[in-house]
Amino acid sequence: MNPLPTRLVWLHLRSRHAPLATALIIAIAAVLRLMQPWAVGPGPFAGTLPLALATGAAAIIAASTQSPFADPEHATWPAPRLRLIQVAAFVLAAAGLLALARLGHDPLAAIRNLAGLTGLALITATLISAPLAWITPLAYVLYCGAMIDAQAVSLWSWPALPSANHTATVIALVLLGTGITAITRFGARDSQPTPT
Amino acid sequence: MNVEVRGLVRTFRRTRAVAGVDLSIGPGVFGLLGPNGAGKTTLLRTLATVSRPDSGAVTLLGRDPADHRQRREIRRRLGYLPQTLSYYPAFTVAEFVEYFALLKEMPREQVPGAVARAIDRVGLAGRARSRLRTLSGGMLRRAGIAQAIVNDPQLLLLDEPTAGLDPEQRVEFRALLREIGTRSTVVVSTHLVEDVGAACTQVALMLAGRVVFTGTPGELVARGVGHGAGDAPLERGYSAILAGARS
Amino acid sequence: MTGLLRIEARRNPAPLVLPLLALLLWLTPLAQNTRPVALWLDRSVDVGASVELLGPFAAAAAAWTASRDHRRKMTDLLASTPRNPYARTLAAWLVSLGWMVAFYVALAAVYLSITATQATWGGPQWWPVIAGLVALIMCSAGGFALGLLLRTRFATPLAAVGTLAVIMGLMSMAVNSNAAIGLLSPLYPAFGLNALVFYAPQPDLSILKIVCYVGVLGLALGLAAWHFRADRPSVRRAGAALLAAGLAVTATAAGLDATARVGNHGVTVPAFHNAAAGHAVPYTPVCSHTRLPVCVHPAYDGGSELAVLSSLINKIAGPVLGVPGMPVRAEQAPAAPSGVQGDPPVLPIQPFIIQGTSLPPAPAESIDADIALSLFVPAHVDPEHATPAQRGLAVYLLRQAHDNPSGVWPLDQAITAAAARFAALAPAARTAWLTTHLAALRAGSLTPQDIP
Repeated sequence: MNPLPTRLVWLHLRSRHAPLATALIIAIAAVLRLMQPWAVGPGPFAGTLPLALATGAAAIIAASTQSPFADPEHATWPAPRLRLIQVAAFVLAAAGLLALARLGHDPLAAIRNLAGLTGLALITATLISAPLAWITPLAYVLYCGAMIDAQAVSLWSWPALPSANHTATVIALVLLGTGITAITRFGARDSQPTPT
Repeated sequence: MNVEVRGLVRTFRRTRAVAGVDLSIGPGVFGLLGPNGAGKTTLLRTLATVSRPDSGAVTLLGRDPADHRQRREIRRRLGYLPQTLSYYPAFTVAEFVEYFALLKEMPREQVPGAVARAIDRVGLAGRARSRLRTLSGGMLRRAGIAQAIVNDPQLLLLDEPTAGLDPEQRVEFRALLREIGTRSTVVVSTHLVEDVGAACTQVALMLAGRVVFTGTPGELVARGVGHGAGDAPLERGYSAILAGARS
Repeated sequence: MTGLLRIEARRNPAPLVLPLLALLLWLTPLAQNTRPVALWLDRSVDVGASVELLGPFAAAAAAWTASRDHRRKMTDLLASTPRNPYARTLAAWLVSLGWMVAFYVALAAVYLSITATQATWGGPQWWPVIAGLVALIMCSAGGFALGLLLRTRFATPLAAVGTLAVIMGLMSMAVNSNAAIGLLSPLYPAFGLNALVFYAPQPDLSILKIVCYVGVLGLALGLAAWHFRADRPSVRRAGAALLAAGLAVTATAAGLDATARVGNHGVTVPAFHNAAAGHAVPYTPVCSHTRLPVCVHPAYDGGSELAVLSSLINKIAGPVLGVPGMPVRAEQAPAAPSGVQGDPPVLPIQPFIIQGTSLPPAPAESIDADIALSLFVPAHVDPEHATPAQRGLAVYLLRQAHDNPSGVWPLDQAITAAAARFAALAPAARTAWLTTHLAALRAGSLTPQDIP
């Protein structure tokens, strides 16, 4: 498989508003770091706040998959690889930033949660729409917050579990893998080929 | 005159899209021809009060669009179809046209009848309740024309109105234009010279932001006799004028 | 305008998220808390706190609606129409807001109707419900402004997540660092939940929140109007007025927030405080007929609250009942947990709601520990400050009641050994020792090694 030209990758990223998306993810990580004194310890709010911000990063990654070109782009060969490169780059960058923001307070859980929530958002982008991909992860985080509040955390609310829980890690990785596969293969729904 | 333009200039960064245009347009169908990038769309957007000129004087329907009250009066009597028609996919054809009838502040009691007439005039009566997302490109264009004419505008501005229409529909559309032109001013920007020849009483040709020809279609044909490339008289007149303006 | 509203109402996407919201509400504690005991104040606060779920979606729906023209590339076509662009866009927003408000009102109606069938005392408190409604409108307006101003594909997710982050963040600041600004979170309870039914409710915090939310609402609508300022002087003037008013009201709310004081009965804001509010409300307690009678406020006399509470307390305190100085009655009191007090001695019990027939494990450990420790600490002393000897006897009581003593902490070898020794004594010996040593024990004069 021939490597894609760097110029092509860069143009693709620009068409997906990558610079703005990157700036927003950095801003989210900065907010998470600033809110650190209030995002630690027991209690539902301290537990849900980092999840909410991770959802923001996941939603931005998914929203950036929307293509402005629709059919003409779908008729080209490199499009799936470009989508894969884009999503992988964003996930890695966001994971690093969020882990840095949560240094000292289970950064591995921050990475895991970003991975799982991004997978959820990417699946939603494939099925519904890229700009609306935030719906499922946000609803899920609200559910997890309720479970934290009720002290009833389980695998159904895996983002609330500590990073030492390996099953939660597996769930997150499965979600991420499914989401990346779906977005790579099909692209976001509102930019999929128009049925004739 | 319904449209008076003197020394109109509109610049985008370093590009002079309209570089000093003078026009006087009365009732009838006025065609606007020109190559890509000539400034036709920018001129039309200015006449539609969507874009403000950098300099020059514009009077529309006897009113000054720079004054917000008069601009509102102009817009009530205006119909505009942009080059790229966008829409809300979930709207039906009737809702789309009704929406613009309401936005044009038509009296409420007149809206239902006006919507039905406009949809009928563009041949979409059978698809009035269809969602816009289900329409073909040509039907969408006709829905766009319907919203432009729903308020029986005194000034109708159409940018590439026949794009996507089949030949039969273009013939019907030209007849519609001629009918509207008997009592209103219609400005049609198009690449299709046959549309100009069939429907327009006056033609202007733009090049690089300037008007290089104004006259009747017959005068345009005459300029191409013995000169210019083209398969039809209007095309030869068109290319002859452009060649002359570029030399 | 009504024609535009009618078209918008038919085509607005806001209703599409309502089933998801209903499902979320069903899965969260809001729905789980519909079992008796039903306290009107508690339930009213719950309704207001539902903004945690509704607010992000209201903001996102508004942002999606506001960005619609740009997203659909309709701006040119719409700009050529005479209708006031601010009014046109407001119409779309109002419909989006209307759906969310209708959902909130329906939620409040259902929830409070269920409460009406269960509550045994008092009546609905409307201030937290109104504050929640204004918070919802504020969230929607914020999303509306963001959708207009930030014309990118990221506006809608940012509106949703940003709203949730602000709501959660403010609440975290209030809980973790007592920051005054945190009081303005829609989640912060309008009333002191421990004192819920014992004192007349003070609406100070609800009023303060409403003032603040109205100010932010004005700011958001002003920013939205400012977006259209180029087209009409009237819109420019309206935008400037809304911005100025919103800023003034928000600043006033911030200033008032700085004067707020958090007390046992709730939050007091001097500018809104009514001296008549906050007074104790007389009531006739409802008591069990057990060896140690347990008395609760009539508002808590629903479901199995009294039965579970009296069984729990009697099970823990059973071995020491009858010893001089031990309580002859246990009674709910709005104050923080403390030792036996009064003559005759009464064990104060902090009010808490028991859903179902037993306590959930996590709070049960803490509550059991408080009950056991309260029997041995002095009057008006928090059980958290129990001495090692007092903790040792509390551990003994919990173990004999087959409860987990982990709620008593810190524990060490000496404490657990003292508990084991005391348990090994004959019942008569335990009673005799307690009779002679209870006063010294409560005074803090004894160590775990002094326990036989």
